[in-house]
Amino acid sequence: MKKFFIKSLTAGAVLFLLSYATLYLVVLLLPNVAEQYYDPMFSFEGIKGVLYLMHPFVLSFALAWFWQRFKGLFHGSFWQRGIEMGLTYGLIATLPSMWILFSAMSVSFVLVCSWLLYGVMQAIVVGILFARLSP
Amino acid sequence: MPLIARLPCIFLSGIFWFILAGGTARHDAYAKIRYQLDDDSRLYLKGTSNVNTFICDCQDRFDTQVIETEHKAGTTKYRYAELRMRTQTFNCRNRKIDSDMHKALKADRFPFIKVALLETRQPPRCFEGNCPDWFDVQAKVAITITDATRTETVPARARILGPNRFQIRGDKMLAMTDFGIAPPQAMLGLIQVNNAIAIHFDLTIQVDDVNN
Repeated sequence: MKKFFIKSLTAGAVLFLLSYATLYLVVLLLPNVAEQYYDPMFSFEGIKGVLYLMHPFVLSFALAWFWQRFKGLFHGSFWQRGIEMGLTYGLIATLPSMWILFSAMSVSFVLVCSWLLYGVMQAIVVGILFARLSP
Repeated sequence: MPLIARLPCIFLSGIFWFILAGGTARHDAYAKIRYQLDDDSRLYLKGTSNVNTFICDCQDRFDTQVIETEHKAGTTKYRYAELRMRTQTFNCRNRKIDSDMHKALKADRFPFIKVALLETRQPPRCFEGNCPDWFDVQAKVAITITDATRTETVPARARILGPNRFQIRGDKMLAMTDFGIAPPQAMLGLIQVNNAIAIHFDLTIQVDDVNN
């Protein structure tokens, strides 16, 4: 259990840094996409900001459980296993949720695509990390 | 920001009045002038952030007002030429920017931006109505935003459209921090509105001697 927490917290910390770095790069390299966040639909104020900053840890703990439960299904080098887990997560969790989000909410296709890519990237990074730390 | 944008309106109105006053004001004495901004007048703020450019239109409509002017050798001084603009009526076409601006301007505590026209300078021959084309006007105004007041010089170009009608246009850069306003931020501070903001105005003004 202790290993589970340490592994999850480590992955959460890595995702946290990745999250902020990605946001920074989006503002720097894709200002037209970043501009869409300057909208009343997005709120990072007060408790919402705290919840947003916590999301890497929510994801890392969820994926830690997923990896613990299904890691036997992924084969090859730790790179291959991590990437496969990330793509599996993207296919099962991220793609359907982005699909329903785009169909039901007033968000641009480009923005939804960026979230899809970001979600898959997060899962691949965590997958590689877990495949290395807990093969 | 909306407040800032409206200040120029007030100033410009004062300038037009001065110009108009050329035919009606008594020299070396304050004369009363009535003025009204045409509905096609436009006053807006143009700001930038690190991801975009935004424009906030001044949507206030101003009633006819009476001010007092005194003209001496190309300089006109004004009394009671103060415009009060409601902060909440500024429209940036983005509710998030509107909301952040109102918050930055502390609209709940300071619902008005005030602009007091103090003085204008223009070529004396233009004051007499002898300039058929655009001419330069400089207005000195006291701008009050939240609880900070600053005196600014606003450069503009003006022209006479006809009897008692003038058009004036120009722009002025202001720094939000000069008025104690923290530029708004979004996305955990990654999106930042830049401190400098430009006031643009293009006003058509009708002026009349208050005795008419």
